[in-house]
Amino acid sequence: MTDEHLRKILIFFFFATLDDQKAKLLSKKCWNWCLSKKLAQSKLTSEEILILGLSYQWESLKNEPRYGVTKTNQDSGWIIKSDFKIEPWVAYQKNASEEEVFSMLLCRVLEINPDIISKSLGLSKGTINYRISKGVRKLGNLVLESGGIL
Amino acid sequence: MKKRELSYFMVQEMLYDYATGSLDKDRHSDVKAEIEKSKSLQDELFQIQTGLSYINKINELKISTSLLEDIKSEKNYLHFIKNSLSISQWPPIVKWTIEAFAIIFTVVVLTVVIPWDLAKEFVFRESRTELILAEVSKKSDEKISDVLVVEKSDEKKESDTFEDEEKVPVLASASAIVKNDAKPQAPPSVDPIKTQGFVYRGTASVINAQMGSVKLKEKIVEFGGRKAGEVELGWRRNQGDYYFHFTIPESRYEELQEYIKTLGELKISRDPHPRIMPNGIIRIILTAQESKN
Repeated sequence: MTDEHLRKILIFFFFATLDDQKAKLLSKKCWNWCLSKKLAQSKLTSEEILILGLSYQWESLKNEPRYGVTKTNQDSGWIIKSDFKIEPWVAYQKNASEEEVFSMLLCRVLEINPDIISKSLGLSKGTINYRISKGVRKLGNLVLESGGIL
Repeated sequence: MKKRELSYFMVQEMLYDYATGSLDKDRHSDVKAEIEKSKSLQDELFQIQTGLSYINKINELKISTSLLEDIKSEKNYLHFIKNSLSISQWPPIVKWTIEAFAIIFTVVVLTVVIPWDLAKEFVFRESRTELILAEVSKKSDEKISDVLVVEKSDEKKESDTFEDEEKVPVLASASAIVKNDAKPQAPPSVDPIKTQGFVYRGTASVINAQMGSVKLKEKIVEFGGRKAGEVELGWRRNQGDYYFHFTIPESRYEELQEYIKTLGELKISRDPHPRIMPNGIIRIILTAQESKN
């Protein structure tokens, strides 16, 4: 497990929770879990362990209410560009289904191969593609409603 | 070979793959041709492309090295304890269980600490008893006086006992029929000077006791009488006679006596009794038996 995997974990939980403190705690838990799994399971690749670790932590997170607000500050460690508008993502994350958000984060945000995702989670590739295409449309619509990307 | 046309729905479903370049060459050109024909498909494609561009911006998020090092650092035992004790980090079921126990504990403490008996005594300090002694029908030439409510005293009154050990309820209020042409009278009240009550005990030897008892019951009710014990008026006893225990306005006593004499022979006496009736009301215990003549 490399720094790149840790970076993906941090990005995943940041956009999943929109809460610095929670994202940090969950990232730490997930990272420790992946490390222990890597030691125990030599057959799984790092990517597969990463997906399983994220999926495991996602189970505890997905039923929590989403209020559509962010709890972040500049010194948290996640460096967001000043011209990036987070509001469309906040609106999308609040209203979309858990499966859709999870698939979007794994496939589009972390850029993990859909084949590895479908193999690790036991889902068909078509299901993942369907969720992502729905998610991208919704997100695009929200971005346009908020006045575009910039 | 005839070219198969794509439906609007199929093109819609393939827009995402078209935007990400996942379609094969032939399918890509077919979808492109359909998009060029339809404004709505072009708008949808633009939506998808905007969404993809936004996600590319998300991928530009950077992580500071301090955060990376913090996550990778060795486990800090105190930090672990601090996080474990943080209620917000506990699973929801644990939080709900603790909240439920807290509520139960609060209810138990309140139940034990607060003196509910004293509170109950304070709230229900005074009790009132109201009992109607006689039913009266309101006619045009009559006026019914007020019904009094007298507070029950704290001393327990003796219960009455007869040959049949029947219990009599405590009498605590009075009503009287007042004629319209009579002077308005003050509402009846318990005479504070009376210290000894009385009861009329009598026996009537009636020809055809069964029919006679029915008529007698009707007459008692007509005069405003009402049962004073637990059994109904004219209750047939094991001995074969008919038992009447009732109260009646004193003003109708003479009339009642005259009526009973039309049914048969009447022997009646007035005996002292510890129970004091309100003014204007008398109590009678009468048995009607078959005449031997």
